[in-house]
Amino acid sequence: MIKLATIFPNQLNLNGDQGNLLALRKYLTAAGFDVEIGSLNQQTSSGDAHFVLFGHGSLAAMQSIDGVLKAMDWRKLMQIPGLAVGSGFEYLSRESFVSQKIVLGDRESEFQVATLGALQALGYRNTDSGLPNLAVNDQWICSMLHGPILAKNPLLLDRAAKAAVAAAGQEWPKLAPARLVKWVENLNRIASQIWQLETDEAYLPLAN
Amino acid sequence: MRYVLAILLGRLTRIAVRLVRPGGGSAFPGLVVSKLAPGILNRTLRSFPKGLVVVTGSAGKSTTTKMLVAIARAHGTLVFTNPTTANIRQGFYSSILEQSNIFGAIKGDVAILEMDEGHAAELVEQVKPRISVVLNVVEDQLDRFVDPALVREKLAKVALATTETLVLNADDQNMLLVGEQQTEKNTKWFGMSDQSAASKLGYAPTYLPKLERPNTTTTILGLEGTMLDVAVHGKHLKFELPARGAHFAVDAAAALETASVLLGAKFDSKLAERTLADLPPVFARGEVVQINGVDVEFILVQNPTSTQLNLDNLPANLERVLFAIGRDVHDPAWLWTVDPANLSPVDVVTGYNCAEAELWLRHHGFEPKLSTDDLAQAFEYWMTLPEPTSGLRTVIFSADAMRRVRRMFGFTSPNEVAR
Repeated sequence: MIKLATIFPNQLNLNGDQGNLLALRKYLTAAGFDVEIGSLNQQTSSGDAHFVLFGHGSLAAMQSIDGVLKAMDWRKLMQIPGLAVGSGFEYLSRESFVSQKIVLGDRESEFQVATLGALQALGYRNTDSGLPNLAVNDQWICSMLHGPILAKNPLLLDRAAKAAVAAAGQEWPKLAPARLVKWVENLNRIASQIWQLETDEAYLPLAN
Repeated sequence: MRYVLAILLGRLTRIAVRLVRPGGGSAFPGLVVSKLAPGILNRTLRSFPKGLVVVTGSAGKSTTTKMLVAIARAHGTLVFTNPTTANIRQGFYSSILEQSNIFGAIKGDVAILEMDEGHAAELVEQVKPRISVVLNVVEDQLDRFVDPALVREKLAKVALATTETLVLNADDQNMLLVGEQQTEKNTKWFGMSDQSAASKLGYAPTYLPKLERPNTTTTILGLEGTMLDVAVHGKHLKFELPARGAHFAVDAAAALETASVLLGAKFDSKLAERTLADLPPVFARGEVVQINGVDVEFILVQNPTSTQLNLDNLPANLERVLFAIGRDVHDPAWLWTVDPANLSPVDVVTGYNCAEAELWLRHHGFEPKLSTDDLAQAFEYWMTLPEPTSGLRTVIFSADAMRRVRRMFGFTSPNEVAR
């Protein structure tokens, strides 16, 4: 069983950020794993999660959960694979759990592509924080590209899924199940269409 | 006299645009007039003896405005208003161009304008509304507004500029915050008696301690299907709404409350009831059209809340659905905040953002038969699929996809919208 955990899913879903867990679940299920999604709202430990999502919320939502966030054991959480997007990433930056610093500037509201090593991600950037579109801190991917970036970026999805599987002490199948092959075909087809609309950069498909 | 040239050039532009693009192109002539005669807007809006009524908020502006205008006109009031598609500054100029004489003057008692929340906050700095109806804040257009709290701030500016009466939604805590800042104003409230139903209307949470709900003077007492039971200042009205959903009932309550404020002692509740009972749907809110001799229902979705509410209110067991998300959805990420569990199998996904929509739908287990950004191809294929055994063929589309579909099939006149 792969256990995916999310922090305040109702509050931190302003741009459909919880869709990242849907994308992970669908991908892991297609790869043959059982998947469970839970919430970390009221507990300060990471439980036994294998992947944690920290989504994006409104200013008021972030203020309303600030006390609980402050009580969470982030040093421990960040040893588990995770994804922080938008205000989730900003929180980690403000509290110095990541090395990237907020430098306020002009607001950017547009589709952008981020590259980090072999990773590439397309998404919508809507921030004046100056934080990068893609960064890795401990086991976490951090991004200012909000919304369902794992669904739109199969390479990033694959990396997150494999990290969760490794955290669960399980192995990725050596031979991709037919269901996964078909799903990756769908993801590559749709993602390449989205890339054509939203950027001039070439889409790098996920190998099957 | 100083506006004659601008009006003439604006009208010539409109004729030229419509020759090229039948049924479209209202924005550009408005832009021409706004450049040549920027002062005409303020002058016009200040010219009505009963002042300016602004209808604003995140969702429900078009329906509320249409209902309010219909009630006012039924009472013999001469109303200047704007069409659904013209609720930003440029659109107001287009509406003046459309309805004024050659000197830029418009006969009328009152202006009732639907205003985009961003444009309303700017416009009221120059022309103060006598009455403002502020409907709600929902999490919408975040690529533009960034945060719901900032939308509330814009709406609070409209409330602050209002000189006489505010009409606010008692079931949206954002509106209670807006009203709290305007204690010196005459504030009227509308809302639902069923607080459980009201909580499902998707207003943006404030995450603040809940404010006490004020007493409403227009109250929705019940809604069964499309049959609305509503009390307006103690008078009991019952009539059929032009479209399904509690959000339309709330729009009707807002319109009725505002009409009673605007018309004062002249307000005839029975006449208002008859007027709303006979009202055709606003463009694509439950509108049924004929395509190739077949009835097709049009449902417009504009933001996460309206999408969720419309999907939740779909009839059970729909068999033929075409889903079209156009270019107006700048960042389609919000689709992922919507639960499509009540959506029947989707046959075709189309529109500029069809790939984003298909990605979202497939993650929810849908397997569309066709996904194409070519609307004509999408419709051609969809209409060849077998007729549904129950219900109507249903098109669910965003505003841009709606405009393109309407143009494609020649549904360009608001007068063609039938109940």
